[in-house]
Amino acid sequence: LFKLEKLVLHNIDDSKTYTYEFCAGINYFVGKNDSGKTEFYTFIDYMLGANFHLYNRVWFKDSLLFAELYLNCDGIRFVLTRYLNDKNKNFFNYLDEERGESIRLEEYKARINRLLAQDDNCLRELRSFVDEDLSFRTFTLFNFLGEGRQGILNDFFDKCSDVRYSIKLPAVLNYIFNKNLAEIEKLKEEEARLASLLERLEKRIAQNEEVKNRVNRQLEVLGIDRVFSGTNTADIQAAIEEFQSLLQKKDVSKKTRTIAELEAVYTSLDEQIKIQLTTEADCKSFKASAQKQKDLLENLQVLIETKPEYAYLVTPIIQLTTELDQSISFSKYLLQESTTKELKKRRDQIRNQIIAEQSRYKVYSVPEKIKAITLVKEYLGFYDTEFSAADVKGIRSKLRETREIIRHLQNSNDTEKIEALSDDITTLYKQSKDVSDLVEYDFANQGFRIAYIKNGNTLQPQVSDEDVESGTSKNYYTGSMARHTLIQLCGYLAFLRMLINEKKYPLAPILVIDHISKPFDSKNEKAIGQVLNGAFSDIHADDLQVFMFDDKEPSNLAITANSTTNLVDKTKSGFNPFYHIPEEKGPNGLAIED
Amino acid sequence: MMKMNNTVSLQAEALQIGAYCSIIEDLLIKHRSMSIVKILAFSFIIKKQKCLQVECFSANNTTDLVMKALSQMAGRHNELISQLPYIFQAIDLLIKNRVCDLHVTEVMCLLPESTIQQSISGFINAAIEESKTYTDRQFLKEVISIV
Repeated sequence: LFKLEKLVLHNIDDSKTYTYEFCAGINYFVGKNDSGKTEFYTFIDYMLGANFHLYNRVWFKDSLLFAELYLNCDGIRFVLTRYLNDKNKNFFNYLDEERGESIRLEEYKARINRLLAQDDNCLRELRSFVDEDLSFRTFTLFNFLGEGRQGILNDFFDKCSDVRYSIKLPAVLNYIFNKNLAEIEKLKEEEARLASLLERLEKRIAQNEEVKNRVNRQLEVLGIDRVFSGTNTADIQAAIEEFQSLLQKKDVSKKTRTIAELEAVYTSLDEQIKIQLTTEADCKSFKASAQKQKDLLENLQVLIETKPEYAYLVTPIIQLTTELDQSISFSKYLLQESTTKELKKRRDQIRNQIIAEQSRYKVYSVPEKIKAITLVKEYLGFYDTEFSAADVKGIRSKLRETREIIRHLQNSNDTEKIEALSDDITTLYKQSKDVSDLVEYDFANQGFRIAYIKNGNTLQPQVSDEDVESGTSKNYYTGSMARHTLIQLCGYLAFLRMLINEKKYPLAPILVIDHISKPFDSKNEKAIGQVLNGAFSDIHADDLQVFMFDDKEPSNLAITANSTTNLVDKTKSGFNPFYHIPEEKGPNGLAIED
Repeated sequence: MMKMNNTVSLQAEALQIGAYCSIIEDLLIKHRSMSIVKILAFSFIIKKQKCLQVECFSANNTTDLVMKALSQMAGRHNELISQLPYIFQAIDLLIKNRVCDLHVTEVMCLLPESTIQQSISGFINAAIEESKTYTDRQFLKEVISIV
């Protein structure tokens, strides 16, 4: 259960408030032109974490300071607060809780996401499927039916005109209409197994290569003019035996500091990476950060005791640290993982540098040569001769195949689901047959239906081919903005119903509709209500909240609204109750009277 | 022996403080003013990177710069804590020598702006720019949760 309960607006000096109450089911807001219907529509998006500024708009500037959205999620009630003048000044708290410290927009969104994500596993699955970090913000695609793209049936979601949403939509649709999720997951596991196997093998190849290089380097140290190729082990061993007997005494050379320094760097990086890996493995970062905070505090206290002269610098930090509240800490694990990977790369580079530096010193002492001999013998033992490059090739091609299958499965559609959705849309559309001659006319055609076409995210009206026996249908093109807008509404409702019933998407169960009656004439406008009533006949009012903003009375549209509010009344001129239309002055400087 | 150890540790301390002085001076000349918390974190990052010669990110990055900068120091919490006294001493020295001044928690630069080639990388500069949208408290929270 997720429900918006009320929206409280605070005026610029926080002296007055105004409350809009919301209820389950259809919330209908009537307002004439210029009364802020579209502003209300965008405001809901803003309160749900949209990243745009409202402050510069003339009807909010200098009149509205902040707004609070009360919502109820599974019986727990939250208050979400956003300031209009600073997008990073937001609050998110329980109803009975003091407002804590302000949070940044990212964290605000992350917290809403946590409310809406019903199942962490599904979210993770979704992420690994689309290879992108998706949150409820992407799913607001399904929530907002605005005025801007009314009557457009290809890419029919209103937010599709925004590239931030439209680029993510195909991947989301692929996920929604995929029936191979279990199979894909299995294959992904297989892929991971193969990849790790390949990695192991490649590591072994690299090791062999390394051993070969090392042997050759030691041979160089010894001054033996032979090259170890991996197969001539016996040959090399013989040469070494020979050399050992000829060994003479020479001076001892020293190592330089640079290498020592490099080694220090290497060790330091290595330690850091180890710590990072262990913290990654243990997800209780919350505990860890509390511990860190404590550490920091203790150390600062000690510092102030030993060096009281710095107190003026340290005290503010201590204060700050003490006041830090223990709110939910969100893991930035993706970012951290990539950094760790990068650090590992650097570490390996430094190791290579160390090796390269070392071989530059060409004078070798006798003990070193003795060491070299021992090393060569030992390295030769390490060389893995039973190992063939063909194995690696096989695994590599298998891995490629698996990846191809996965991609194929990801793109394949669950046709049954799409058919069901199409039928659903058609049924919804049919609801309004009795009140709209447009719809009646459509259904007079043989086999009229609305097909959802996933590629292009299109709603396509179709009729049967003349040749009825073949059972195929052909596309049916008709004009009329009203018809298309009605089809669009059916599409939104059918999508929401499907997504809500599956209960696994981070989706807010709301539908916000702006001025839908615009393209309808008085003969057809009742169709809107019929379609909505049809949708609510099998969605419970608790499961879907609809917000409608329109200039017509709900009875005109045949809508049985659960609550009706007029945006204009004696006390206010529109959505923002604190905005007053500046009085127009006549030519003589006097206010014009009506 | 004892005496020598003592001078060595004194020298080490002086070197540390000196290094921080020059880093913080660079920081302030470029960015004019910063809060103490941000100086603590960024001077530590810069010094560590100079020493390790490791930089994972380039100035081409545009998002989550603060997180990225901090994530490079993940796992070095104890080091950071052990370095804190030196950083505080460095700030104190700079204030006493009229390089900068303290207003509540904000350290302001008193030196004129200069175009001298800086030792701070483009990425860190960008991260500092981004950090200006963080309040001290938000910033400290990130430091504690990441580093």
